[in-house]
Amino acid sequence: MTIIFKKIFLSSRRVRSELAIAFGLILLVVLVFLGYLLPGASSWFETKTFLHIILVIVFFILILGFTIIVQMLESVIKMSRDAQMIAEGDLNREIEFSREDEIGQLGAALNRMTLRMKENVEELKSFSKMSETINLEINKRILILSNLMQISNLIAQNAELMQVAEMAIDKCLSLGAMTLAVFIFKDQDNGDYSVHCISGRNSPQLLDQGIKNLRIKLGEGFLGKTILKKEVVVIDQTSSLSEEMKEFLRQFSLRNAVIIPIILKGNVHGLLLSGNEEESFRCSSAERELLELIAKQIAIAKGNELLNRGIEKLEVTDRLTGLFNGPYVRNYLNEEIKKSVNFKTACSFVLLTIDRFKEYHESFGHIEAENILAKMGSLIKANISSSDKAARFTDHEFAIVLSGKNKRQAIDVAETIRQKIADSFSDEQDTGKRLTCRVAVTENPIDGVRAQDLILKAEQILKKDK
Amino acid sequence: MKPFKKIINKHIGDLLIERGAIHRENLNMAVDYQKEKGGLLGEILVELKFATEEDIAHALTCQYGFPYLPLANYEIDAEVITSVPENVCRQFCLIPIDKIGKSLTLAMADPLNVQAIEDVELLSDCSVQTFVGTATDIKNSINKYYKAK
Repeated sequence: MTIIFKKIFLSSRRVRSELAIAFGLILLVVLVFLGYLLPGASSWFETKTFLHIILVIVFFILILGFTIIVQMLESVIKMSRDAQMIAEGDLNREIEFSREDEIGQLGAALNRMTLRMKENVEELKSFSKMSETINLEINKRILILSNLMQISNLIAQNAELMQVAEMAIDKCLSLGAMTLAVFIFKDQDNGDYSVHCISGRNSPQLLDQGIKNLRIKLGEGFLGKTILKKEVVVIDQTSSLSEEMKEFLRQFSLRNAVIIPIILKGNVHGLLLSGNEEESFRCSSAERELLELIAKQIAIAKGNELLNRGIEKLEVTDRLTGLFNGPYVRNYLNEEIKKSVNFKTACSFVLLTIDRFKEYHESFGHIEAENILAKMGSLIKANISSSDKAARFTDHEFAIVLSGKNKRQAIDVAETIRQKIADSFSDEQDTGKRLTCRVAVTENPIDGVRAQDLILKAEQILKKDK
Repeated sequence: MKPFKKIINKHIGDLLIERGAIHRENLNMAVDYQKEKGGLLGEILVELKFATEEDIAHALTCQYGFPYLPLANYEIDAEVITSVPENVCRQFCLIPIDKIGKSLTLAMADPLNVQAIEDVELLSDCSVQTFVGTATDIKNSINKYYKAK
């Protein structure tokens, strides 16, 4: 009840008293007016001679009442305008309040709210910036991953090592802060390391300076020692440089560098070298991680290359004829010659070529020609002993290694085969299909002590017979 | 091929056992060694000290009638040397010692090596007569005469 009364009588605060005054004054105006209009109400208002005075008083009281209300409302209106501006986003605006009444308190409360909002907005902004950085980082990682996938795909397709290396170098340059990327691989012939693949801003100048002729020996110079240590080396603004490092950076026109060994089964097969010329560069762990991943992929590609080479070496047969292939029989002949020298025996080599094979191929087509080669293969195989080895030497040349047989014995074998081949085609109706062949027989030791001597001599004999 | 060459296909090891120069175990060891390292069986028997070079030469002489020729004191004509290339001589451990018309005489550590004889006949277009020589003598002569050439 008291609360209701307090609210009705508007007496607890200053605004309420002001309002009370204003309303009191207006009430007074009404009463004065009522007194004047109703003559019986008061003797004060009996005569109408005071009309002008009464009007002036009423007017004055009205002005006073309105001024009080307007004054009060003006600050509310100004506050509302400021609040609107704040609502529209101008959080830097402050509500002016000089009053200590409820309006002043409202203004102060609004200012506090605005400040809080401003702080929240600032906090949100910083969160948004953080999430933006995180998003960027995530995008970057996804990009790296997709690029690494591209390299993996290339490896899965069994691409050449250099093709994979070139793509990896492109990725090194496009993903990180590096401006030069180089692959250094071990040379198979001498065991030294040299630049096999280079790309980047300074690569044309480096190539002109003959960077590809640079020979890196194990344990010599900065790179040689890095290979020996099998460790990742990062040179950036935080590194203290040795003389060898300075020489290396000068050689590759770099200020910063990351060198990662390409390790396969514990052996260093090369180095991935990347770098830039930035003055205050610091290699991030992400950058290093990326380069290490690329180096690992190159190691896989290198492993594939070595495996492929191994498989090629292991392939010893010719698919068409089922005989051995040329490279195998060359090696075999060499081995057999070594045995012959050791055991004081002879070893013979027979080279057999089909006459007019090219004409046959042109006249009867590829499939017919292949059938002929397969038939020849079978004929040869059927007429040699289990200790002898026959091979498809070149396109239409066959070779037989007769270990432990001397030239006379080899001539017997070769002549039998030649005769059998001639016989097997002699019944052909078409004269173009009556194939014959020529043979050449060489022997160790008579014609030489190396496989190449015997092969060369046999080829010369066939050429002479043509 | 001459008929006598067909007869002399007996292993030199068996010949030495028959003559009591070596035991079967010695021969087996020498054959194993030969499989491993290669070389002439006669030379291996000498290397393993199971027999002497003279034992082998003597066995061949007695069994097949190959005459023995001590090469150390024998002078070979330079022209004769040219009839067989050095690598053939080294590989088969033989050396030409004389040539009369179409007949070439060889000193061989293993005169039972028919392949070698056939090769020399093919190369020289001569019929071959063989003498037995010790491997050491033949190697020394090859070094001496082919170096001089």
